[in-house]
Amino acid sequence: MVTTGVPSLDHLLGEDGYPDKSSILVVGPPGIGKEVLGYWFVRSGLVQGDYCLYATHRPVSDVLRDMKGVGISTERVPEWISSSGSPVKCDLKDTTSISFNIKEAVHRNKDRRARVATDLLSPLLVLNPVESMYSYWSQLLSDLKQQDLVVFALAEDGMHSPNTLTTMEQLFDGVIEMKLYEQGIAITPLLRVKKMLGLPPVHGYFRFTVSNTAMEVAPHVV
Amino acid sequence: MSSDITLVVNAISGLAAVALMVLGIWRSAQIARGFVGRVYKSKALWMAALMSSILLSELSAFAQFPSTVLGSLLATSPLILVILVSYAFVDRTILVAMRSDFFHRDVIGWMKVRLSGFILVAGALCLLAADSALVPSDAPTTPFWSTVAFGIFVVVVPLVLGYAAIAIVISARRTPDRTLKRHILFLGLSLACFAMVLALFASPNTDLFDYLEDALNVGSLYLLYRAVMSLTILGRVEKGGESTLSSSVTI
Repeated sequence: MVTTGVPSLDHLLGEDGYPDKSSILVVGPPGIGKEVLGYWFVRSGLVQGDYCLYATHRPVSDVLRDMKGVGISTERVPEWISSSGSPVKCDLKDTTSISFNIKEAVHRNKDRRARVATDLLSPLLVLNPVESMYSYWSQLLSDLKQQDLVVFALAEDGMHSPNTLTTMEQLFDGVIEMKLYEQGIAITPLLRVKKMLGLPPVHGYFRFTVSNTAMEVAPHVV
Repeated sequence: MSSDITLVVNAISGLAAVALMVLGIWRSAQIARGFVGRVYKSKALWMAALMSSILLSELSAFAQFPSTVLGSLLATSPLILVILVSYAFVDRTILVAMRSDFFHRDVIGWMKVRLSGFILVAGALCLLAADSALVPSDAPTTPFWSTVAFGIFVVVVPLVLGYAAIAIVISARRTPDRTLKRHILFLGLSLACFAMVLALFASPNTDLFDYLEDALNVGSLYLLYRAVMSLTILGRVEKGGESTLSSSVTI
């Protein structure tokens, strides 16, 4: 098992975190804090000595600033594939090179356990037909899972049609949904584990809070 | 009779505007609390600030101000505040939309004209403030410079806000984020209605134009409220969705 970097989420997923050799998708609207889960996941990997790769359509400086903003030390950083600030560039129009660069970076570190975090799924889904992206991600995930690694991907809710998201969710072993929920006049950010490989369905909603030092997941009373 | 109806219509539209803004401020504050991303959190807070300034402006219509320089300035200041905050907010929204565009494209040269636009709006507002402070509303004759100052205000500000409304609608088309797209579209339409309300300040003082102004004002605020509610996708908790985690741990 691979720790999520958030002990309360590890607890929710059965103490140990994400399953080995799995692909996890976090779905939620922009601004809700999906990236924070990815940052803690990468940070936990760096602490444990795993090889960590962060593939993003944003500049490295943006991601580092966000990491610092949620209390994550940037003394140790993952290897980057990004739009700027990294030796390997991410060109959203060149899906082949993105896939090649990710696989190549992971293959170079095949003797270590690896963690790949990426926010590229949504931009690529917007720029390419769903059918081709389904095959593309299916192939990429299957190639990556030949090694001891966990892939952590983010998808923007509201950027794609519900059908598209449901289709993409099928490719992943675990799906976590983060959203703002209306309850009477209150609006609360809640998290839901929609599915997780090797885990019985986790019912219900969980409150999550992100501060500048920690992320916490706690039961939510309906 | 006609003026009684006008008064009732004015009062109803004023109350509707206040109710919409109070609800909107509450909703945007709640949504801001739920956001983690700085951009979206600040967007929700900006919405709350904009609606607070509009609320202040709507409430000031029910207040009586003394017929002095200070009183006149106080009476005009809520409108000036609304226009300044609107401009700043719209500018910020266009920047957010450009940032969410994967290719970070400029929208009809907004990056080049945003400062000039601000200077034009600020200049027109200074003229409006000077006009309202120096020329009493019950003055028997209006000096020529006052007519010119007011003329500049009702032409320049709606034109600049109209341009911003077009920029915002185009940026809505470019953003891939469907939630942001809807939010920005509502905001652009609201801004366009607001620009028309300002342009109607120069219309003849008849009942018909009064009704039109009230309708556009309430319409603009309703669209603004819809913009708040479309800031993010809101889910509904299903019944029986109690969580099964027994304890929580903080790191």
